[in-house]
Amino acid sequence: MAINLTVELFGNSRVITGQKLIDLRFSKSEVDICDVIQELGQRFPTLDGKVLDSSTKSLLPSYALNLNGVGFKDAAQIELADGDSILILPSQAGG
Amino acid sequence: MFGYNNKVLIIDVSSKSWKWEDLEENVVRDFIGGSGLGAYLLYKHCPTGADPLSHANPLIFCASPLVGSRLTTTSKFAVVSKSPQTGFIGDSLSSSSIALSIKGVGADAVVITGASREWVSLVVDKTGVRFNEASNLLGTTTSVTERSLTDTLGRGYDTACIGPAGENLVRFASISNDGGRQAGRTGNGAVMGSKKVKAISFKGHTKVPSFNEKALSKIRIDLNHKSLGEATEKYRTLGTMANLSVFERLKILPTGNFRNQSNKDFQNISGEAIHTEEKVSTSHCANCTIGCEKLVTIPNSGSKKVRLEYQSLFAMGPLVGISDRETILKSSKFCDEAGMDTISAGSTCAWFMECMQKGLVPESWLKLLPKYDSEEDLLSKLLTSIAERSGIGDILAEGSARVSEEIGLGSDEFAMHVKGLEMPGYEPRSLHTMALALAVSTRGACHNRSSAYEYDFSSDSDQYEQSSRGRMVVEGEDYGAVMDSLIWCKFVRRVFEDFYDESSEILNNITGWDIDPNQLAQCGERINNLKKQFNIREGWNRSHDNLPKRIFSDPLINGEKVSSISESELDNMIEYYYDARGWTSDGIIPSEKLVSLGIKS
Repeated sequence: MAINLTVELFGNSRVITGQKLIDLRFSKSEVDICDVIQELGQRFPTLDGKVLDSSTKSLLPSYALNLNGVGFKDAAQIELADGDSILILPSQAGG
Repeated sequence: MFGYNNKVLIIDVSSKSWKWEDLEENVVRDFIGGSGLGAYLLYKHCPTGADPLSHANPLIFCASPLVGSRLTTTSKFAVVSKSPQTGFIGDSLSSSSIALSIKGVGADAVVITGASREWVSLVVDKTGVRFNEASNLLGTTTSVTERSLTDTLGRGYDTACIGPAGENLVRFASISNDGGRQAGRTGNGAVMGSKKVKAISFKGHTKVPSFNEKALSKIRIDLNHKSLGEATEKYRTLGTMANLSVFERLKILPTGNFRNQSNKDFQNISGEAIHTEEKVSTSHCANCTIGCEKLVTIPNSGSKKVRLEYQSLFAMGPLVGISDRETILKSSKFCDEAGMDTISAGSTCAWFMECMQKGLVPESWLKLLPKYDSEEDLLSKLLTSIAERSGIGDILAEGSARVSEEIGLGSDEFAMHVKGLEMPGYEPRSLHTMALALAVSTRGACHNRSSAYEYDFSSDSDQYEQSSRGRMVVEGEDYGAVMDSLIWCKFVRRVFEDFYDESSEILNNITGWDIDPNQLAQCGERINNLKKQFNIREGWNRSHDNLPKRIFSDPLINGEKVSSISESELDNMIEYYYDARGWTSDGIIPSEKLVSLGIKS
């Protein structure tokens, strides 16, 4: 079984990669956020240290996660399913 | 006293006289500076019931103890008066070199009273105050005024001025300084115009010493380092423009006068698109390491640049249903040059355009409309006519609250303001903590005095109890009042691990005091209570804490997701908020509370 996910990039992560949307396909039945971040880091090494930390497989504090555009979640709270969209957003909300 | 000049400069433009008054230490210990000291001075100098556009309303510029400390983001000042938009307290903040110059002339605050018969340009330096004739500056834009005064006065003078909108008493006129930075909200530019003061220039000649410069130096280096870290990444890269694409994706970007029925794609005006496709440079306020300001070169305008941030992008674009980038950049630039708050200008135009679409505009007013060939052209011509107070603009310059009352026909239900101040680009039907904060803010629909959106953008925000939101807004407002009084830029807030702990240490190193973090937090509470007490004195009642009817009657429907807030939900949150403040259920501050905060003896 495979899981297909979409990552939507905002802020500097979009500027760095030049991508708004990235489709990811995992050939396994369970995927977590660490898998997604690891995959992103491999595809776009320039994100490392600016958006994510590939050594800890986590986002830097300046970025936040949102699942399918409906609520803000800590990485540990997110359960991913086939077809989900993961939004990577600047965590500073001001302006 | 270290950190302060201990002086307030009182300038009476009616008699063209000036004097210095002592500023007691107990006052600044209670109200700090900036917005807090401004509230104290307004309460003292503004007679009850004063018409905001009369000689009786003081216009107050306040520096703060942190100004001159060279700590990052602290070159800021507050402008305070009774707002011609709300009839309540009006305070706005701006930044950069002029804050240093205000303090450098030996003042902690400058209070302008009275009204001149002819237009004047004030000059404050070591020789005192001069009242220069200013008819040659009339009609000039903010940048031309500032440049002209720099040329005339010479190096070292920093100027705050109004543009044509302030001269013409547009109720949402702003005050501009340091090359286009704006004290934007609540109409202080109109108050300055009502006094016939086109500009005020300062040249500093003194420096206020700090108590422990050695300790401050270490803190300065540490803060500079932290301010360039992850806590400010968004502001340093795209600036606040980065909000637009996020808000659009999360369906919390208000569009078309908060109808949110637009089929337009606003990705073309996202911060990311502008950053990638236009020529963008970064600018810093004096003593700021962050550099959130993004100067965008306007296409087809030679080398003209506009200082662009999210609220202007929102107000000149999605709010009025416009997605054309060039129109938005030009409109934003126009407002800055005319000296008009972009949020109130955009919101008033958005409301009027909806009235036109619904056939609610009286025939006699339609005759005053300029000819236009597109929505973009209409926006441009409405803004011009407002700044000039010509044609229909003479009516719209009163702002959406007043004009909707005049039109009637239900148009007040979609005039998107609170207490007369138009709403910023945060969607209250989705962001319920923000909804409460917008409703109860002492200066009207304001996002900055509470930063309550922070709570709505955090994990588990959907599960907050209404009572929690009441406490959160109190916490956010008190925190904001301390920031706005010390004054820190809001964008540095996440740099602190413990804001009150670190800020009290800094304040003590500047002043030599021994204020503890709890006492500093209580200053925030005191300042917000004083602002509220000013409003109560000026006629505030429970009905003023509310949101526009549209917010309750028109839920946001996005597929299966419905975002809404009912009037009773808001009422409940307001009750919890009053309770958390220790106020009565009608929102009145009990006498014993005023006594305990030292506001009343």
